[in-house]
Amino acid sequence: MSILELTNVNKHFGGLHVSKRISMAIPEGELSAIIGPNGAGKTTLFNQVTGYITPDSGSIHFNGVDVTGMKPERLVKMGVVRAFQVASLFYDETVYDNIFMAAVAFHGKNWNVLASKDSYQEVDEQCQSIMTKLGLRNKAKLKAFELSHGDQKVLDIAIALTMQPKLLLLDEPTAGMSPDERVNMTQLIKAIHREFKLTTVFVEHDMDMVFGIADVIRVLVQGELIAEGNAEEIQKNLAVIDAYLGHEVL
Amino acid sequence: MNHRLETTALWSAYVLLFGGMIFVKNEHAIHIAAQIVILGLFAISFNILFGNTGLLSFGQALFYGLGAYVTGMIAKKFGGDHFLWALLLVPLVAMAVALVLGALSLRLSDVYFTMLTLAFAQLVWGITIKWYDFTSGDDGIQAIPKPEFLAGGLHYYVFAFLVVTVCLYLLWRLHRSPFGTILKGIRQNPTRVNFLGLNVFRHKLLAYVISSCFTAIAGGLYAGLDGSIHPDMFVWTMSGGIILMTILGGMRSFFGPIIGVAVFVLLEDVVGRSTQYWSFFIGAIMIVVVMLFPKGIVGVSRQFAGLFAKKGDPLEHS
Repeated sequence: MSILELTNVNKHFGGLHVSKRISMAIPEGELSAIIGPNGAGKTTLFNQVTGYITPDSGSIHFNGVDVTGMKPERLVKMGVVRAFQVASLFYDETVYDNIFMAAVAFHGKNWNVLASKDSYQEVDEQCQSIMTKLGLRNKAKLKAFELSHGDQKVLDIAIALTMQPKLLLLDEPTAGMSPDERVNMTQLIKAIHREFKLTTVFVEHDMDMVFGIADVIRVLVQGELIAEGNAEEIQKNLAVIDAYLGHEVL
Repeated sequence: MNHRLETTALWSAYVLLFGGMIFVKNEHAIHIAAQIVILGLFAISFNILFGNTGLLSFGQALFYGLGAYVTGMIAKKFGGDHFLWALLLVPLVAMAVALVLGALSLRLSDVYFTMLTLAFAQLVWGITIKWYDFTSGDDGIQAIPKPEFLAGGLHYYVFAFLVVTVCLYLLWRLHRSPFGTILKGIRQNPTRVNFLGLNVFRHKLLAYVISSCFTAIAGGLYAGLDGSIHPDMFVWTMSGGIILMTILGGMRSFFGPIIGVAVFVLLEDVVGRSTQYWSFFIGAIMIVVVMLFPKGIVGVSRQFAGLFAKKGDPLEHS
């Protein structure tokens, strides 16, 4: 069964048709990529799936439930969680506190106005476990702004994972990274997918990474879904080559 | 400086300094100390909104005046024995008012929120001035009676100090609670808080209600201090003064605001004796602080403490 199903999703920004009758079904457990040139509407599509903006028409179903136009806070509770193109962190707080906030939200302790911060063992345990899994443990006391760019992106993903998503959306996880950081991030995403058995969709421009790890690749060009398939099929797809990959790559 | 050490040091200093005042025989000094703790409670409550949540309300004087008038009017009408329950009524009235005003103003963001809070406070100030039959208008309320056991400067100081200390303890718990942490998150990145599955507006509203509630308690305590209150307690210079004191003391620290209050009140007292232009000195000090030490007095102290601290411990944070 597909965990996420988009049916004829349309979105306009003024005269610009940013999502053109997009339909796709993402099966549970899939690790997939969305690729396409700048301005193809990839982030806009993410914004619609996560409830940040509402489609003009069409519907989005998550786990069989119609979630079209639902607010982000409700979608997060249902398990639709994202990381951001520019790491969206609490920059003045420590790595631990960044994850702590997510854990507090996840455990529904956010309304407690009198308890001490460290009075919830399960919250702390979750923070420690996430930091260990993502290799952030020795940076727990550093403030988010002190981290390297790569670690900031990892922390962004750590926050998302703390929410125990059922569907994880990663918006350009390697954007702005050094080659080494890219390799690490690629391995990390693969490891996360394996460890958490998590349906993961990522937007990415790094083709080595896309063809290296994605089970399925979907190609958006000017708001339109023009192709869908595995690495080999996409690399041979003439429409994709014309619109995005270019001939010299192959 | 280590966070826990700093907290312990500041709490100890607070208790020793203001608790120790009960042994001071000087009536004037006790009166100054009472002003500092009462305004200190106002400033620290305000900073829950400002320093923690990032909401600059320019109208918190509304709740300060509200607390004073609820206490003052009830005690004046029904007698000194009713002073205490009037004071107990204050947080309830304040929370009800804050719930309505917060629901209206927190829908707006940034400067629009600030302007609307200012407008509400000025509106209440206007009503207080004009509605002479109910509020005594511009005359204010004088000779507010208190119960027998609170009479005299020292007795009232002990009472105010105890009430403020309990309030500060509760606010301090809030400051370091999960809710308090989420408030800091809202200040830095509300979108991300939303993507943690939380409703930002409701968290802001609760912060606003709690902050206003404690501000009103400070106002209620002030009504008993001199037994004299005035519509000026609602006016925008009152709200503005608290903002200045908070910035002066340091808005990123729990105790920062009360330190700013102490500096203000003491300067007014000391400099005010020799010249009526004491506010000139406050102005000059504010310019220096904002330009050279934007993190306030506590921020500067932390930097100095950092200079003497062991080097090479990047994990330490203030």
